[in-house]
Amino acid sequence: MCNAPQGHASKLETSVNAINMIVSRKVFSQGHLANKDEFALILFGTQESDNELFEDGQYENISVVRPLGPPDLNFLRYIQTNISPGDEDADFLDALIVAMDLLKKSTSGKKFGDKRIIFFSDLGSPFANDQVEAITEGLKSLGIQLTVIGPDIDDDDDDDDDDEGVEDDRQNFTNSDSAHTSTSRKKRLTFHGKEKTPQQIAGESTLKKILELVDGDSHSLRSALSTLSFFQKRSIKMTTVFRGPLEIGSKLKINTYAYIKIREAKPESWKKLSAVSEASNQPGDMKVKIERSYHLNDEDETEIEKENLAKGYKYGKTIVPWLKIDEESMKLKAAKCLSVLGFTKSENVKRHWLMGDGVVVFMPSPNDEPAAVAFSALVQALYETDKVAIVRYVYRNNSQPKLGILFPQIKATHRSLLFIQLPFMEDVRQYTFASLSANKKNIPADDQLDLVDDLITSMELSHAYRDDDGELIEALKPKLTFNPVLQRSYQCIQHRALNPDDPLPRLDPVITRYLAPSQDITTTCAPHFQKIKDSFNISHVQKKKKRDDGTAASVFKDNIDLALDLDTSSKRAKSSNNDTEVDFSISSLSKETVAEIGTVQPVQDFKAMINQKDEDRFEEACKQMKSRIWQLVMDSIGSQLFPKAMDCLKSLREECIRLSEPSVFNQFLQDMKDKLSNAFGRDFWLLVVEGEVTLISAQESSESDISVAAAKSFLKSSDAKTEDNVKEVVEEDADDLLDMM
Amino acid sequence: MATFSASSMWMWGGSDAFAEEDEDGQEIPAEQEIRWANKDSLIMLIDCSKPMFQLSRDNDLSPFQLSIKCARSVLMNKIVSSDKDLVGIVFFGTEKSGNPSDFKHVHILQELDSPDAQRILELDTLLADEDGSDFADNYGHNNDFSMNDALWTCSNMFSTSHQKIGHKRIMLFTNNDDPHQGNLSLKRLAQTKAKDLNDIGIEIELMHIQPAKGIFDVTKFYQDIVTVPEDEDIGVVPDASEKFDELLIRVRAKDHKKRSLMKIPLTLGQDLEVGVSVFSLCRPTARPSYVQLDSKTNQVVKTVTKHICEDTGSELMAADIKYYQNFGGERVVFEKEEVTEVKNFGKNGLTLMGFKPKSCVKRHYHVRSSYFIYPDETVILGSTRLISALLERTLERDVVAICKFVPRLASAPKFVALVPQREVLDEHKVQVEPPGFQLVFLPYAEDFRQLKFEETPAPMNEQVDKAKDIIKSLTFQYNPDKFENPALQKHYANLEALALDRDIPEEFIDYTEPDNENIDKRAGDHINDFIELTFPEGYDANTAQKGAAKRKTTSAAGGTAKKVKQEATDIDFQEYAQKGLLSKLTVNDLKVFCKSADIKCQGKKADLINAISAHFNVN
Repeated sequence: MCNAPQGHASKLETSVNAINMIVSRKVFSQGHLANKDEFALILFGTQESDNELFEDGQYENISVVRPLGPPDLNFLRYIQTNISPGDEDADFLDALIVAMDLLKKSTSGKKFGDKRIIFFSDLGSPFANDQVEAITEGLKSLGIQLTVIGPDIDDDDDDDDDDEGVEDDRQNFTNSDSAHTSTSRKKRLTFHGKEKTPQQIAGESTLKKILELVDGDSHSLRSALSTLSFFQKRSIKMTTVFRGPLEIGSKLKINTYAYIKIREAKPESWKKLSAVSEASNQPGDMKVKIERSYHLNDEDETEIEKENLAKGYKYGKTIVPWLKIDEESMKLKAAKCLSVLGFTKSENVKRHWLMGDGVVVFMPSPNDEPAAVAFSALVQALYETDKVAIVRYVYRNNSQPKLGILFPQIKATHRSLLFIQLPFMEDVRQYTFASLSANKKNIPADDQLDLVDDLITSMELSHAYRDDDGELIEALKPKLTFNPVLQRSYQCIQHRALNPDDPLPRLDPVITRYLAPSQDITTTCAPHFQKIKDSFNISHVQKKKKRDDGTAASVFKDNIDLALDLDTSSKRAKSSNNDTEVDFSISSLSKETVAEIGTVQPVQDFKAMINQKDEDRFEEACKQMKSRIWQLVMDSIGSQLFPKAMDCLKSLREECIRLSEPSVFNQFLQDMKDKLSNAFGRDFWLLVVEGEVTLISAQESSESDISVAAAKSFLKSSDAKTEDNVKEVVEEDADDLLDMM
Repeated sequence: MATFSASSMWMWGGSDAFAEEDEDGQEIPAEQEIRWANKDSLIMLIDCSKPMFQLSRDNDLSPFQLSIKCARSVLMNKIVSSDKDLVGIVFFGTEKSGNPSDFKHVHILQELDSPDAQRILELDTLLADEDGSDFADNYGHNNDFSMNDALWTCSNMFSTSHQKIGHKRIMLFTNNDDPHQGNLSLKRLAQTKAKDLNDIGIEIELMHIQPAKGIFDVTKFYQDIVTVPEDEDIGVVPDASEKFDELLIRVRAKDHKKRSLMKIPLTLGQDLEVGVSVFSLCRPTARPSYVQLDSKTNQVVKTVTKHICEDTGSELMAADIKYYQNFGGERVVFEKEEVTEVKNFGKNGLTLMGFKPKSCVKRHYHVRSSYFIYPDETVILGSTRLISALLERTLERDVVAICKFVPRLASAPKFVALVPQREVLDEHKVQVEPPGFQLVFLPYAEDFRQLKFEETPAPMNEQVDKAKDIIKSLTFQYNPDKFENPALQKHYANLEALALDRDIPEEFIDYTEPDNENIDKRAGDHINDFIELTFPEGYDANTAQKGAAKRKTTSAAGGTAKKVKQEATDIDFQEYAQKGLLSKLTVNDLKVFCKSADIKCQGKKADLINAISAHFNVN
């Protein structure tokens, strides 16, 4: 069990991996109330003998290492670190008996839905054949199911592979409410293609006999591992989301039960933990709570006590305050129902109208035979006529009515109706898109269509994936494609739990493999891609000059530009200002699109960019303008460029008011204030104060939450250290302002 | 290297509006309403000359009333889905003049502003005036208007607005195809003005209504007035509308600016990328949640949220917060950056994995609303032509493209199917399905619930046939336009009443309620036959349902499942069998009889019936 060729995992290691996956599934799903599964772990072939049946010579080398209990991290830690190969032989039938005994004793008096022994072994060691009958009788009378993983006992009868088959398969590991695993530490194997020993063949035939008698199942290690290679939660308990009649007209009522069939599985939510408490000497519970406070939109941001709050609803600009009594009358009273509005051709319901977060399946009520017959007849009729029902669905009293489609699904053993939500009139946006043939140059030529044809052929996925049996099957089948985010978070959580000091593990290769087109496809298709690229003339739009984002390179380059501009710009400074005021007509701007705010006529560029009609570039323009202002201030020799910078600042302010974006400017001014406290830019800041370029107040822009007083005091407070005369100026202005109000 | 530099250009494309995750990094429900930062603005410019008030053909509303009804619908629609957008209404062809430039016969009814209750009320008043007599008194009619003035007024309204405006559009409602007949100079003036407006980015859409006599001829005047934005050009002008529904469909197609959620690269293979825009064309409009008000002033208050450490009482900054999950009874702690890293699967965009037959994407593979993909030429040249070729060939071969979809940097990858969609125009040359790909989200293995069901019985042919009759008599042409969301309607009807101080909210019809009267009338006979064929006499769905639940609980509580309830029955099975009425009996009765008559049979009702029929030699 523990020997393996170089570079391969031994059977023991593989078994340990499988056990690890089985147990961690349970641990991951412990949040669910329904999950109270318990586990025990028994090893056989150990040095020690530690079990209740052990008595000289009897039940030797078998150890119960974890008694039956809910699995926790310590269980996982044990599996990861404490299972090591041993040298002793142990009778695997003895081990089975120890397991049965343990289950019997530990479960008596408790209620378990399901008892199971999952038995891992390569059956390499000698065993005594005399107890077979006792074992089968015992398993039967105790209601214990037996699953054997390891030996390749004829892979005959576990081929239940219809569409749902894979899931069913998986349930073998997850369905039990109490499981019990045992593993062996024996030598000699067939795992890597070696021949079976006579001992193994004998063991297999005995085990096979037992399995037949107790209706157990067996899996090879390889197939077990491939079903276990992804983390999976225990299946969620099947609960109804609706019980009631499907109604057609006032008379026909067919009783149904409904269940969720498909819904996006989301990762567990992350909970917050206070790092402050964690780092302190006596970390407590480290809980983080959220405190909310409510403030008026006035200058002092007056806080409003919670009891003085009222609710209101918006009706466009009108706000309707709400009394508690009104609340109920607002809601639509809808009785629980599933009512057919009519039927329509299947093709009338477009795929892209399907809404909602999943699929609900309706089945006839159990134990209501007439309903089941009526239901089946309806499903069959819909199926044969290729029609679907449009229904109103209210899943419980007074929940919002949903409109939906019910369409038939017929499987080997059952017929069902699937429900998916459909949009209301308000939910559909009917935009018009230009015809792709509107522009002649966009119509592909015949040879180009042929190229695309070749690509489609060579990237065909329906026979692209080689399964375990070497057969080509459909790649990326949703039912077999696991959510990488879920898998990755399980992987990381488990890894971090067992190795708290390690960095995050690398993405598991089983995930990486299906996140990109297969190597085969990329290799065979490479020439196609190149041909298409050439034929269609695919090219990136010439990238515009790199935006000034403050990197050393760009600043340096701009400095050169600026130096070149300098002589002209000082001459043009006046005229360009005039330009912006006099010659600034919208139509002249729309003629050319300005990609970038230069240093020559920044104000004009800025305005042009903002007023560009084809796309909204306000943010981009502001970003550039801001860096231009910084540049002008910092590059100025003396106060040479300050007037220009000031013009820019003012125009930024203007536009922010005009376009109701005061925060952009206010944020920037705050920034400026913070940064210009040094001697270098301070002179410019004084100009700002002097020029009374205040924050944008609520008076100037309704979007601003800065009061007039706060806007003005912002400049004042900044200048605690300024000369007195400046202070006076500011205060005077403030008085004037107050007078004006 | 080429791909790397290109990817940085896409960064801006991932709009914040596609907020898939909240601040905690939790995925929030997939379908949430998306609101845009930019305000759209729309002016409805309505012809008020005499012909607009003449009832035409079989309409019971005048063209003017059709227009006002559309305007009302636009206002309501804005309130429901984007209440920050600005809407204005301007009349022309009125005797009364009311505009800042004192143009004659142009009257601004509603300035450009967000819609509110009063504005709706104003339109309701206009609608109530059925014969237009009040209108004649209050506004009058005059044909001496100049289209130039009307357009100029609109243009001024846009430029004097104090709010930051994104998109500007004028909808012109008229049924007169040649307002300046014979007056060449007025015609020229209007055409020049229209061109000016076009130059500064104001779109003019014609919402033309069929005149009482003849056909609206766009070539006479309006073809030089209207502007078709390049990205909405379908190559033809739609027909003039006659009915409200027709006009409303056209209005609704234009009352919101088309905005993409994001522009992203579609990587077909190594070194081969094209640009696409992603749109959301179908998403739930939620019932709005309340806002918090100061009860004294009725002002909206803003909410400030702080994180507090319970142990120390100190306020926590983002850097002071770590994240954990419970696992195996212990907390497993991660840094914020690590939480982000766990979800990071690389750069955003679509990556082609390959092609599959369309039938592989089953209808029930549904986890969230689909998106719509349209080529974007702004970053990569040639995108439109290649997408166009892909569309043509995938349609031809009935295949879909399977892609990996990462909407934004570090957001969860999904597998999607790009389902090709051909452009479809309706009989009035209005586009009903745009050309492009529907982006259908595929579920992951974990999203499928494991369900096990009891076997359902096979129905008999006659039952199936009856069910077909029912289906046939209740077949209709489904279209989402037909159903308004009753919960939303109720909410806004009540709000409207409160906002306007009305006592009783306006009635609305809940179109999602089944019209049982009509259903019974159309299919009643078939339904009765079906019930007779399928349900035993005295069967009551209500008690049967309760019984099912009850029985289920008793058996779950550990009692042995009752298989066959022994009951003395004195049914004459032979008679039932001969009359072909066995299907009316309960399965229970049939089973009891089978047992008593020693007929070996199990399972479905149909099997039992067949077995009993055979027993009596009836067939």
